[in-house]
Amino acid sequence: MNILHLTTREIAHRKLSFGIGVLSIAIAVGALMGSLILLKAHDQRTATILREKEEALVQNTKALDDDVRRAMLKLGFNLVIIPKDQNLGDWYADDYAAKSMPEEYVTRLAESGIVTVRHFLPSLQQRITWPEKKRTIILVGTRGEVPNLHKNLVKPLVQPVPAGTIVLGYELHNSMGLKEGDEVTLMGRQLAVHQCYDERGTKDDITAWISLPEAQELLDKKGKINAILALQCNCPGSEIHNIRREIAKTLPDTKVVERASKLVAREEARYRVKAEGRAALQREIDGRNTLRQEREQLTALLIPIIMIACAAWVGFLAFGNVRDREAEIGILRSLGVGSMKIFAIFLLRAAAMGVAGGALGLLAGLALGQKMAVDSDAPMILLALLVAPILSLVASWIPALIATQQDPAEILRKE
Amino acid sequence: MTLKLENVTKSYRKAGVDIDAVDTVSLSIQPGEFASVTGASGCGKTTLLLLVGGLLHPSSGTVSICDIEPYGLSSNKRARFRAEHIGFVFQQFCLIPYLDVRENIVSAALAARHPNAELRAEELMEQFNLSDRAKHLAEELSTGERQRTALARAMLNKPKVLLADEPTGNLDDANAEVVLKALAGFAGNGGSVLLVTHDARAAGYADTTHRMQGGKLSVD
Repeated sequence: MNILHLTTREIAHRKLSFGIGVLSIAIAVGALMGSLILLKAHDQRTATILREKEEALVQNTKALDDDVRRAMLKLGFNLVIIPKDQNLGDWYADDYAAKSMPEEYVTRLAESGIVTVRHFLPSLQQRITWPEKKRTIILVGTRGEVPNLHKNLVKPLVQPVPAGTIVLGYELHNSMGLKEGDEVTLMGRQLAVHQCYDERGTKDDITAWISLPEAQELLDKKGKINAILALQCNCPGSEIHNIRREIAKTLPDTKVVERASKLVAREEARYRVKAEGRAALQREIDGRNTLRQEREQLTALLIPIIMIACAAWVGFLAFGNVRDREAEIGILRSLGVGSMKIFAIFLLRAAAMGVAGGALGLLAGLALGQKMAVDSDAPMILLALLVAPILSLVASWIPALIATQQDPAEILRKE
Repeated sequence: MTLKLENVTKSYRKAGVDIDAVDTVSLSIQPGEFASVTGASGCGKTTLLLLVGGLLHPSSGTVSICDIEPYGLSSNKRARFRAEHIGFVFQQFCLIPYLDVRENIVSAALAARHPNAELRAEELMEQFNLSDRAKHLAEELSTGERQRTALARAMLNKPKVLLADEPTGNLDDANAEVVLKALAGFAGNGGSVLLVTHDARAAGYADTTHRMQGGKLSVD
């Protein structure tokens, strides 16, 4: 016979009282677990929402980027680098620079580490008379885009014109009855028509594009270009001066001309959308954080109330148990059982109640977690398993002390 | 000398008045002696028994059992002393309701750490004709069986002194006889028995009979 055996028999005898105690502790632990799980579920949901919004933002921004790139292709480029000594009046009048600069400038730019521009498009343009056709055209020699080697490479916006071929604007191929694959002679050079553009309503309609080396040869400007178009300038229009400063550092004998300010506005819009997306994301984070704080505050208020109510109830049940077992206390004392052992008998019962209630509450919490697809981590389980016996022991402490203070002589006299 | 009381007084204060429930009582019981104390209800018999049993501190005087003064011991040591030297039998049996007969008998070993408690319980159940009731709860027993169980529990630790408070008060004649014979048998085996009762017939089993009146003890 030991106190464990005595306690198990007593619990079996007073099932209802013990069961009510277990249930109340299970409710308290379940409420604690439930609150923690709800907070964790909130965190998981927040993470999911933010991830989805982040992904959506990236997708939207990417789509916007493509829009801007396409717009740039159709509407022209916003920055043009031309030789420093080029007269701007002439440049605006002729729409090309009469002065030229070394082609290697574009390589220097690409390797310079300039961060605000993604691509460079070198070209050599000149208004000429097509001798064989006896008409004025704009001849453009292009070699395609030179990517900024310090930026992530993306698909080029402009494809180079293959050597030995020519691309014709609408007015040229339409008036001369040319189509793709036809052969033409330009300044004595035999060229195949590579592409015929649709009508654009700009000077592009009287433009012919050939490869840059061939244009340099035909125009007797070997190794020279007269413009570098800067594509995808990744900064708001208000920061054009930063690009100018960056380019001037690398190519001091050039100047940067801003064109098509509509595009700058588009770029700014793009940045605004991006910034608005970020702000919306931040608002979502702030909103979720506020909601979490409110839930935390509610939990911080409710859990102690539930715990105190549960402790009071368990204490009340323990008082009842001591009262019901008064005679037993008297008998045990007369049998020589010391006060510490009497204390231990009541605390052991409380601990058993706590463990059973804790286990039940934990199971309820785990079931809730499973339903809400939230994993219960080890600290949460440990907390639940520790809180229940501690709660029960604390609540039963005073009743157990009272049991030890019972006067056996008084009890036995009453019996 | 197994049990000796010298000028023991126990006073209570009720409604501002001191009442001597036990008034300068002296008593000696030898090993093998069966002593009884008779008297009317409220004369102080139960108080005397509790004083002897180490459960009620006397207001004055000394109590010694087996030459040890239990009230000179600490509370825990006195409890241990009680477990090893004293057995109690009460009128209301005082069995633990959720334990069966065997467990009730063995419960006496809770404090004394009896190494062969189960074996000793079997012997006592045999002795008191309780073997076929071993698995029965107190509420399933007759009053005679309950008192025999209480007696067996009191004897589990082979105490030197058995204190019986009206043990036959709720029993019929036949069962009362069984209990009284058992007490006499305990004394016959060298134990000391102090029986308090208002039943003169029960007191007739004792070797020496004392009368208690108004807290004072006198020899018949």
